[in-house]
Amino acid sequence: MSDEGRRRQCEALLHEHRRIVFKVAAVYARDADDRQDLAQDIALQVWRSFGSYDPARPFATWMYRVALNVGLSHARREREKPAMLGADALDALEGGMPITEPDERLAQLARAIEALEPLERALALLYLEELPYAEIAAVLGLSETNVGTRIARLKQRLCRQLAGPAPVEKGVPHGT
Amino acid sequence: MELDELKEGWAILDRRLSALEVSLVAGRAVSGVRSELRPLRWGQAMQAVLGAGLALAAGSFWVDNRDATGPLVAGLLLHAYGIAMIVAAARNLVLAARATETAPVLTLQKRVAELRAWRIREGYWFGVVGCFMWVPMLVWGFAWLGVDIVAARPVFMAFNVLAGFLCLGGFLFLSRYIKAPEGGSVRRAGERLEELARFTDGGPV
Repeated sequence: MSDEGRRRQCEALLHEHRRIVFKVAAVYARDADDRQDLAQDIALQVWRSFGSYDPARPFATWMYRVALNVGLSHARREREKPAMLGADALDALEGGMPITEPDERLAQLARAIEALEPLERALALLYLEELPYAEIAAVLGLSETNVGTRIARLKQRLCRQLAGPAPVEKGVPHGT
Repeated sequence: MELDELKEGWAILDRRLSALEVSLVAGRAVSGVRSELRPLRWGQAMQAVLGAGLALAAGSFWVDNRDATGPLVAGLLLHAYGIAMIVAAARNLVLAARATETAPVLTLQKRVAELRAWRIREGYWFGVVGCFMWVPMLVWGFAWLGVDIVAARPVFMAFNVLAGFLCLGGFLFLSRYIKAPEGGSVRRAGERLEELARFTDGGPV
């Protein structure tokens, strides 16, 4: 395939899966400007790495890897803990539709994600995307069993967070 | 039920993001975008070339001065330093080459953390050795002028070695007390590796 053809193929796939880029940027960026930069960073990295993409494999899995790796590198560079994309922040994105009514579910999601560490955010994003365990395992480089364990623990943690200040935990040792 | 609400929130985010018309242009030069590892690769390639030059020159120097103890030792030390520069650069380049963005997330994060930890340790040891490397450089420089400075001015050279120890003391002091961020970097790199290990092993993060 010619360079031009390859470029077109990459742009088409990137456009088709652009929501992955925006979601990862939403989870790891600090603010609106940062989100735009991070989204473009991810797109650029997708383009640079596109030569190593094997068309026989699902593009989305490959793209999640690239996007999350760029997001985590970004989080590592930034000292400040990133804030999750809130309901009121979407219209700060170029081309975003104006948001007039804040949505409590979106705000709750933002609070829950903000409390997670960068690696847990990656897992949470893949879980919320409802990807099969096998695909999550392929993106993260974990075994499927390990993915199951991590997700069960993540759910427990999210439930505790959503329930508010939890009573003293009894009986279930952390890490089992 | 609460988790379902989170999923609803995620679905709302998804719908709103799909309405965005932000263009992502593949291959477009984006200002402010930088590869973390590109400067490292260039720097290490340069270090390997300089190390090779030093190893060759110092090797030739000590071979020509096998009968003079001072220049011989100085030449051997510089030769070893040149080789250490090459080895360190090669290790950095190998570690950097393994860190590709298309690797599974945890694999890449682990490789980057290993590279970071190695860079910090490497910088520390080059700093320690660097406190003394100017002494053999001095011997070499004088030898080019035809003077065996170790034989001619042993006291002067002893003072230089002593100055090297003072430099080392200053370096260690700065490393420990003043350059706290460096120590912090070592700790952070170690913590990151531990965090990754816990995540991979299924333990609590």
